[in-house]
Amino acid sequence: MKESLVYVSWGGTGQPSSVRQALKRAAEVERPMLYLAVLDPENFGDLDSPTTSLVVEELKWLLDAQLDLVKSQLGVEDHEVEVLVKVGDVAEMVEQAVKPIAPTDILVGAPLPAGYTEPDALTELLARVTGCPVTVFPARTPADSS
Amino acid sequence: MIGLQLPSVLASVGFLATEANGEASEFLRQEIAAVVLLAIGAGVAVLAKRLKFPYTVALVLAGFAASTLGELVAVDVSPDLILALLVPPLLFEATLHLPWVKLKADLTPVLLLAVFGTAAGTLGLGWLVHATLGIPWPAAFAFGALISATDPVAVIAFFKSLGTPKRLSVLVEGESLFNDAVAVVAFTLAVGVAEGTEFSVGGAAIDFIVVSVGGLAVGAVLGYVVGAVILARLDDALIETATTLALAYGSYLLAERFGAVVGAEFHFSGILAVVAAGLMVGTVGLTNTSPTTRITLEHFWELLTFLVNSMVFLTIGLTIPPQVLLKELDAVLIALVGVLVVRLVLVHGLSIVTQRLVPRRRIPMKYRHVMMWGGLRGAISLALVLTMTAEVFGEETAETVRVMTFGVVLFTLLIQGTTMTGLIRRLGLSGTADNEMAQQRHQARIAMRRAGQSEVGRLGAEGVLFSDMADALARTYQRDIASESSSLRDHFTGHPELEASMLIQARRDALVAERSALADIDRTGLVDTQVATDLAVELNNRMAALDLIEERWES
Repeated sequence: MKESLVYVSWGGTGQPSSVRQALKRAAEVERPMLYLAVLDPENFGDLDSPTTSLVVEELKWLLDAQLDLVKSQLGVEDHEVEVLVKVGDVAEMVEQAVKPIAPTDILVGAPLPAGYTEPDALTELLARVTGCPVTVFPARTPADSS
Repeated sequence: MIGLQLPSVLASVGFLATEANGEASEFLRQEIAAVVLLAIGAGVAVLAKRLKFPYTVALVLAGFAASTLGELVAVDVSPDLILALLVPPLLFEATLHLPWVKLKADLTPVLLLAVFGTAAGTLGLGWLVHATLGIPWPAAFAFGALISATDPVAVIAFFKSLGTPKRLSVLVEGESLFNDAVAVVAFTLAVGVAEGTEFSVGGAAIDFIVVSVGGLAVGAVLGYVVGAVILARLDDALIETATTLALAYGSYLLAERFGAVVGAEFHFSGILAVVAAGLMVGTVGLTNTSPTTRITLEHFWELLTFLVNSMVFLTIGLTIPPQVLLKELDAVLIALVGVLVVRLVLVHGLSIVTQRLVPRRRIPMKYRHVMMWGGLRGAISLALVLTMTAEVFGEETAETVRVMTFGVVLFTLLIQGTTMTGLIRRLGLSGTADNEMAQQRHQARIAMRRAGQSEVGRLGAEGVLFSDMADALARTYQRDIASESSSLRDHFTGHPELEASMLIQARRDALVAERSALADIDRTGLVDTQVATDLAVELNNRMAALDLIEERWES
């Protein structure tokens, strides 16, 4: 997959609105999209290997279903999208995933509970290790608005 | 133990077995008491679910109603029953579902509130009731300690139903688990002073550390043994579940009786032992056991918690006659205002401290309001106050403290408990509940119309309706269904945030349907038993993985 657009999420399924934005952008620029979901140590680090494998398998199933739905809603049923679920540190997994595919953009859209992670720091890190422009979709919890 | 006064009606119709001397056996009395309480609990649960009323609050009200029947369902509650028999399973179950990864992230505010908050609350409230009501210092501090233990059962149920952020749940549950233990230790110190033990601040601090660290150590060691050795290595749902039950009670008992075991006169905190054991099992045991065992274990603990909660909250209603509160209304009001003000100051004050210590773990203002108003009091406070005897504290003092505690517990359950939903919604912390309700309305209408359409078809096919009319009605239904489906699609497009929860729920429903289909196939003998068992395990695995994704996903 060359000249792809990579959408990154972690901690579960991607934020619905940001998945839509990512797929819309990929369709507009006519690039295939890699939907990378990471089971990060913060949320899944305590699980043993067999349980993690089960979660990977089930999450892949859910993300396939989610993408199918979003594609049909956006009318881009034939757009090329691959779902990849990885386990480990978010930055490391993104670096591993993007190396062989030379993406044009990296879009980050993960549910970020207040104070759990710092999107700015992550954006800078991803940009540095991948050499790609990185965009973070706003993904805020209701508590952040206080 | 719980003792039911003999219902004369039942006795007169010969329902109760009587012994040679004409008195029903104590065992039978207790058995009937348990059955009656469980039956009431189950009935209240059904009603509360239908009326969407907080279950625990409904139980207290049912207890009130039952207490007006006089001797028919009067109970005699022993504090030991609550502390040693009912509290360990409640704490154990709560810790099982408290993900260590989340608790660890918020350990600073949790411990600040649980340790410093409870200690400050004990001193502040103790001073208040001593200064205003003239309650002697030991009894005043005993009251301050016992009333500082929060009970989040009702609040956590709201959080789950309203879809509030997981972090808020962890903060409230985490604080409650640890402050129960701190309150018990502080209470025991105050009772010791009342009994004549010499008191010094340094000695009390050392006692506190020994009792707490000892309890945590006992629980952690036992929990690790059960989690890492038994749960992680065995694969037998029944044995593993039974072991966790033994662990919950065993860790409490061993910690409380540790001195006797080693031939010395001291004890550790049983409550902290249960908390540590539960956290250890949840962290190293549950995540390393098979999904089938995990599901069995979770269902067992869910049932046990339901039974225990039914007993505890019904008993609260049965043991607190509302008219008693009127006798010492001024004391109740002073205690109540004190409890609310102290909670307000501590939650907001310690949140500011948290922000200074760990800026990344700032507690949002909306969370603080919920944590303040959600500081309900319940089983622990009630159990502790019932241990305050007239011999140690004096008749009048013990009675006043008891009435103040009853008043505060009742207010928090009945007033704070019933207004929490409104507060959470008003603060915008109810997740997607309103949108979800609208979505459910659309879905329910579609299901209803389909049922109507199907019935019309059946009547037409059977000739009860002539075919032209049946077809016309069916077509009209079809238009309704299409319109409702379109509304559902529009609603969904306007609220994409519903997608994840709807997706997960739909997947869960589908897996349940798959399980049901597999059971049918197995019953008809279409596949070998081994094949059916393997496929059932596969389905359980998928269900458990889905639970984990939902549990850890932050909306």
